[in-house]
Amino acid sequence: MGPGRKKRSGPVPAWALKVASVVMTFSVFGSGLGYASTHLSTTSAATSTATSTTTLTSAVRTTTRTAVTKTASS
Amino acid sequence: MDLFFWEVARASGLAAYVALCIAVLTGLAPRTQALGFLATNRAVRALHDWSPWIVLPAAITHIVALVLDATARISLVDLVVPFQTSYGQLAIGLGTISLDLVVIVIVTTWLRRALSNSWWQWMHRLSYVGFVTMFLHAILSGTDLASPVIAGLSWAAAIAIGYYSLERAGRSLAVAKARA
Repeated sequence: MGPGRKKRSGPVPAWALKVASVVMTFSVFGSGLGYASTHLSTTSAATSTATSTTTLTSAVRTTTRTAVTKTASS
Repeated sequence: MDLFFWEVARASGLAAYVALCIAVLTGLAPRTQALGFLATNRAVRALHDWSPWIVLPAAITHIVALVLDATARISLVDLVVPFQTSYGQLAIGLGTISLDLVVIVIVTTWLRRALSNSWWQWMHRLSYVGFVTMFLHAILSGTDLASPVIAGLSWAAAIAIGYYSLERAGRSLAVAKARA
């Protein structure tokens, strides 16, 4: 770019930026919901100390899903 | 039902973080040309002015889901007064501070005509503090940041905003020095 020449800005109009921002936010929400439903009880740094107590904290989750059990015989 | 609210709270927390990143980055972009490859300053500014409409719904969904989730034990007071929760006081308290600051920034922007320009500017600069506290809240309490992909994207967005904030601060200082 030579002296005196202005750098050209991109061509995306304001309305397209707004639509893209909404789509991006909703996509993250949807993906996050999918991820959260498949990763139920990941303990976080903030609540990890609380999990050592006997009371349930927000980091400890119960589920109504059928327990996966396997009985091994010897 | 608690599990549903918990999942919604986690997902909307991530969405609120992305929305706030968009709001802050588009606020920085006109001076730094951070989004010059994408659109004109005028279009970027229009997105920045409009960004509360993506930040607020995501943030409101996050806090409503947490209040409705009985296991999270977040009360209405916790939404306004930080460090009152019975667990994760720092991590959750930072989220409360962030929420308070975002509300202050948005409300003072809506009342901009009633405020002096310097007052409004100082209030608007609180958005940087709001972003930092939200980022720390996400790092310290965000359950999903255990995922390398989510953590990587969150850090990348924060680093980009940090970089452009410093660039903008540098430019402002240079202008102030030139005027002095």
